[in-house]
Amino acid sequence: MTNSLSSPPVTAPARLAVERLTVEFGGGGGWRRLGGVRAPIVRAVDDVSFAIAPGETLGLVGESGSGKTTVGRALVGLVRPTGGSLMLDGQDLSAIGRAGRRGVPRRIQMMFQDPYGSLNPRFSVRETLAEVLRFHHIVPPDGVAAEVRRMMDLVGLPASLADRMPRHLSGGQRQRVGLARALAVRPSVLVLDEPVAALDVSIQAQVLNLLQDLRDTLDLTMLFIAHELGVVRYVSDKVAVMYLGAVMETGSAAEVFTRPAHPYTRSLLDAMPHLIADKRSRPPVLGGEGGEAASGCRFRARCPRAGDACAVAPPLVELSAGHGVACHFPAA
Amino acid sequence: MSTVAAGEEGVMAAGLGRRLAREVASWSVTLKLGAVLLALIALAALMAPWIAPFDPEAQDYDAILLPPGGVHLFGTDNVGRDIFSRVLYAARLDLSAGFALTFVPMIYGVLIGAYAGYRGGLVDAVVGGIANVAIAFPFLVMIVVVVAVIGPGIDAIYISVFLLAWTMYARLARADMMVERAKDYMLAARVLGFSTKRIVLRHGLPNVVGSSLVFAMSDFVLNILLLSGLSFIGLGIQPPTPEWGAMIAEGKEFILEAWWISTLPGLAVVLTGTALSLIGDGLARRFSDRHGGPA
Repeated sequence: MTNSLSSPPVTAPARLAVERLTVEFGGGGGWRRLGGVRAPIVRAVDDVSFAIAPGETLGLVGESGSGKTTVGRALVGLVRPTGGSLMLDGQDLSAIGRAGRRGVPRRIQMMFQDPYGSLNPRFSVRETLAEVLRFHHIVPPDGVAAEVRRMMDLVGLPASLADRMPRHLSGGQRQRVGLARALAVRPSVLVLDEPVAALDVSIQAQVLNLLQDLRDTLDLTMLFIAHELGVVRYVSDKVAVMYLGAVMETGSAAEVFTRPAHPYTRSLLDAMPHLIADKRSRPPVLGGEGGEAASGCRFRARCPRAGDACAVAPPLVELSAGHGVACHFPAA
Repeated sequence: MSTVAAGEEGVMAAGLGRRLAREVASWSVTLKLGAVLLALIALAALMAPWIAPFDPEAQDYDAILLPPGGVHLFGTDNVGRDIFSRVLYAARLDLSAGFALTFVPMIYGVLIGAYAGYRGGLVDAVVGGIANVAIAFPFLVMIVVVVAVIGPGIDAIYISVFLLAWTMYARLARADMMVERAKDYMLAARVLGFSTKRIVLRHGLPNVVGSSLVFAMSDFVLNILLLSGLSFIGLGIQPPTPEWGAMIAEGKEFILEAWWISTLPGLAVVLTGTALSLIGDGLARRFSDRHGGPA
């Protein structure tokens, strides 16, 4: 089942490789069939493949409902894939099994979007971090206090905040605690699900800079999920654009942002607000909400370039080295 | 290293005291009033052997149906027992039985509901089915069946309530847990590889127990009324043991000439109910402050 075109070549062996990942929801399997309840099957992620080299950051972009969050959740085991494989350092994650046992630190960790919901409201910063360290025996018991201070320092939190409860922290501080909690188990891969979407712009920049610093010092591999292209462009080495569960375009950030080949990527970039408004070249705004076309290319109904060929779903083909696009009429 | 740890422990102990003080300071007037009232009632019940001027079961035929006042503060009943002493001793029974009838089912009800809500799927369906059967079962039929088997008394009430009363708590905890489990901190706990036990008990439970605690306060009142009511109709506590409901029943024949026999134990029920309701009300406000309000 190897599809050389769908996984762009990487120079180093991939730290994280996602091969033909498919996730379906609903369907009413198991006991629900007894009651005759059968929810319609929704394919949230459809045959998605990508690879991330060690120390690299892949930006996963798409509008809400594109399945980008589901990809991230499948990676950390929050949803079970219906098909495909997830490889970490060449090892199949499903073969590693549910590494939920005590003392087995997770190698893939996640940072969440909602700064208000991502911390247990009843645990102080110290309690939140100490629990992780103790549970996984990251440091010997008498070293926990020092390690908590070190983790707080790592994410730029002053030690004076250690006994604060989450409700006494700002949004940016909460996100830093969430980051410290994820890093406490020493992961090699960090999945970031819209980590700055809920923050003020000034705080966004601080957190993004922190992430870049940590990526360099800790040699982290990151999957950065976001809908804001500006943010993705700032942190990513590579980009994958998702639409209704499938990858539309993938390539290096520079390539995709300067020479978008897929009409969907182009419309996303056109929709970005610019500092200097140019009234003459106001971009065409995409109509509709993206109901899935019954067959063929899933972007067909909204696509300005759609033609007869689009009745057949286009495969992801390489335009140039590392730059793949799933479109019958890619822009040159 | 050890000195640092010791110092931190000291700081944490001081922090705990300060936290407690701040906690009490944040209570509403309602909550404070209810807590003080209940504390006084509980204290009176605890101290009954020292406070009560008479043996609650001792009969004195020279002092029959005496009105309140004098040596017999609350008067005496038709066999000359001191009502005040009996009300005090009854408080011990009513409070402790009400407490057990409320909090024992609450403990396993909340645990079952929280686990079902967290797991969902088959576990939830099975628990939900059992709970629905328990809810559909009429309580009075249950108590009559149990009394028929083991005879009247407090044990029959315990068995019936323990079999049926957990469902309300299970439903509350289940509903709250279903909301809570989708929150990011619960997902984070799963991603961090914590065990289901730890996630449900340590992370989920403290955040879903609030509504059950509030409900428990009104349930406490209802359970004292239930105990009194069942004793009143003869299915509960048997004479001569002092119990508020049983005392009200004993006094009903003399209600016209000796109102105090029924009324004063009734007043004790009302006072206890008021204290618990005030606490329940205050707790409800307290929890909504915590979750919604600003720091």
